[in-house]
Amino acid sequence: MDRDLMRCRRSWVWSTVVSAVWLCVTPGASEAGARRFTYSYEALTHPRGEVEYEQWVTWKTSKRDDRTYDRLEFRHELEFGVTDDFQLGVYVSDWRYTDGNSVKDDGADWRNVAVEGIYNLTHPIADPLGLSLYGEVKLGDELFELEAKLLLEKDFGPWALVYNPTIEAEWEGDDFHERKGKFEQTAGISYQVMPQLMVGAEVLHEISFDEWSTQSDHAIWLGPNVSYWKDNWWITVTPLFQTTHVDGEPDFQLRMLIGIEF
Amino acid sequence: MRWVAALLMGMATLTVVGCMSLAQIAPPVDVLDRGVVGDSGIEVGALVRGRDHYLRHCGNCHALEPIGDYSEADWRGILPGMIKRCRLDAVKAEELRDYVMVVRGHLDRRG
Ligand code: HEC
Repeated sequence: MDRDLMRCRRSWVWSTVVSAVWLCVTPGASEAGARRFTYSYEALTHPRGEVEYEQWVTWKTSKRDDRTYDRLEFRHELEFGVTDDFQLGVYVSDWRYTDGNSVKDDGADWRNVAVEGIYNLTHPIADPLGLSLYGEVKLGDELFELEAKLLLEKDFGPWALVYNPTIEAEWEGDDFHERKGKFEQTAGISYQVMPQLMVGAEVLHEISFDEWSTQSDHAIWLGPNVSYWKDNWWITVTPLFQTTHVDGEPDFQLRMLIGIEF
Repeated sequence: MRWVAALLMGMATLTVVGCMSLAQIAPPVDVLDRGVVGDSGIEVGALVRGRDHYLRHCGNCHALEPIGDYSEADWRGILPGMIKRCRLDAVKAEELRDYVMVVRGHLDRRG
């Protein structure tokens, strides 16, 4: 069997075991508030002592230059409320499965581990505008990435509005010599229909800079989102459709997050 | 970039409208009936902190509930469970409870 696939399976098994153990050893689960968005982050962090497992799945499909293209991305993440204002996330494993005529190495591919920190400065209800700072470091076999985001949020009754500008620096390849910069912004609006059900829309805009110079085309995706929570778990789904016509980017992507709080 | 500008303006509008309606949902301590505040025997500073806990914790799972929507008896039933969900320490829990009860008293006196 292919070595990468073996490694994927191992990390998958490992993180499933870890989360199963967590589920068993932490009784008295707290109530969860769902994430309302999948591409955007809200400003609030977990309270101190709260632990959450998040399962991410992103499906990207159908590029204009390769209609057979499919990619499934998986992330297994644990988040910890370190203080009431600071939250730490560990991506136990990111891996993906890619298929399509234009893809050189079809199949599964382990990507990276990562650590992210979110520091909350102001509250989206109690203060005029909610603001948090987000920093992330990713490390893979042939990948090193730094990412910084601002998380802005304003809540008004059942409405929530978010905006996240993001800047990313990436080093890829054998000796990390392929450099890439990326500017990304996401925004979302969400309405709470019932305490447990939220619906809304999200938009994602990306531009990348190979070697920090050649600018790619602007790619924009737009789509609805829905999020539901009950007891100590929640699920959020966003299908996004490309509104621009960038050849190398998927015409459709869908992200689903499932969270379990302990 | 037009949508970014529209979005930021939307956020600003929500901020202004939000601050105004917040005063209805959870009135600031300085507009409360002085007689009610005085009779409660609770320090104004503690009530101000109680309101802050209310705003910071009670709208994180569902929209912030207007205090006036529930009677004093309702709140006595609702608060213990909701405070538990917020994971507040005992002091903050008491400040939050006192604030809600004083606002309820204020609304009842105003009729
Ligand atoms: C962790 C999530 C969470 C937090 C935090 C939370 N609530 Fe709730 N709240 C719920 C859920 C879920 C319901 C729906 C009813 C239920 O399951 O008890 C609810 C219902 C309510 C209701 C309606 C009750 C009824 O009988 O109609 C009120 C009022 C309320 N919450 C007030 C508050 C207040 C005040 C706070 C802050 C002290 C708060 N909530 C914090 C989850 C939360």
